[in-house]
Amino acid sequence: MGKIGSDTKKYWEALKEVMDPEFPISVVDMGLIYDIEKNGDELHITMTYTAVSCACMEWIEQDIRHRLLQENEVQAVQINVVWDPPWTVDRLSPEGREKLKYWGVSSK
Amino acid sequence: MNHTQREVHALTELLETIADHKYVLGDRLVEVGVSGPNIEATLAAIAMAQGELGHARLLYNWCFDLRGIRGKKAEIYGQTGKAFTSIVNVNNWITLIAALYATNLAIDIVWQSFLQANHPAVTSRIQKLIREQQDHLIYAKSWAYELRHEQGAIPSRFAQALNHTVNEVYVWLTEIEKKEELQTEGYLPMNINLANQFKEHLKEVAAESLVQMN
Repeated sequence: MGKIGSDTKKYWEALKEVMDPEFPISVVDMGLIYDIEKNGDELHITMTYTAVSCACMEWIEQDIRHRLLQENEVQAVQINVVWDPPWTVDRLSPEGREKLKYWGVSSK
Repeated sequence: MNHTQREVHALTELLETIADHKYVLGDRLVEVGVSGPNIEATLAAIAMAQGELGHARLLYNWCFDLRGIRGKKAEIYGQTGKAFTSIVNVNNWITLIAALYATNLAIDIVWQSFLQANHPAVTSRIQKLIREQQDHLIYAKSWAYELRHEQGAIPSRFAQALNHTVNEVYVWLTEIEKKEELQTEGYLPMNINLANQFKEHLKEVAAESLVQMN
């Protein structure tokens, strides 16, 4: 998880409701979200994916936009996908690791 | 075309060529890989197909960015015509492994040179892709080694298939070496010798005795 400013904490919480389509783990606990910045009524999300070949990119981005736009003060969501630093299992939150363990998936 | 435009154009053409190779490899991994020699090979081929197609998507989208195309990216319905003929003509497991191994080895050598040059506009985009591609390369190399040391007609058929791709790779890498724009802008290090590196790596599957480079 990236740095959380007091003005963006609620959006990090909101994104905990957006699940990875392949596992019932949020995009936050998967460690996909690198940063959230608020600029007026616009949110700028910096994120990555577990793999360059992720087949669910558009789906996940749509879910992120849909959830954040439910916040009254948010009028637009810009998503910037980056590949550096690359995602590794080290980015999983402890909660994410527990859930993967529950589903029998190694996170080492 | 001014100085900077020429250099960006050269980079875009190179990335698009790699994207084409990967797009067609992804397609062939599905078409041919589904009839792999065993279930493990088939599953791996399909997984790698998704990887190669994903890499192609990333590279095509990067080319759109470099050409100044903003907003929603266009759907990709086919390669742009730069993929090696030997990849396009893959029609069985032997030609698939030969194309997958030689092409990914060549692309990896190009990526490693990009990393060595450490141009900020490039390295941040390829880190993850390189890690993923390593798995494909290890897989293809293991199969290449196995086919090279098989019994009967397989080693010579594999050598013939490998030879087709290797000759195309060699020409391609030599062309990249000659693209001064890529080196002057710092995308690639000065005085690179990609083709020789490729030749050296081929020896790891004892392929040098089988392959005749034109």
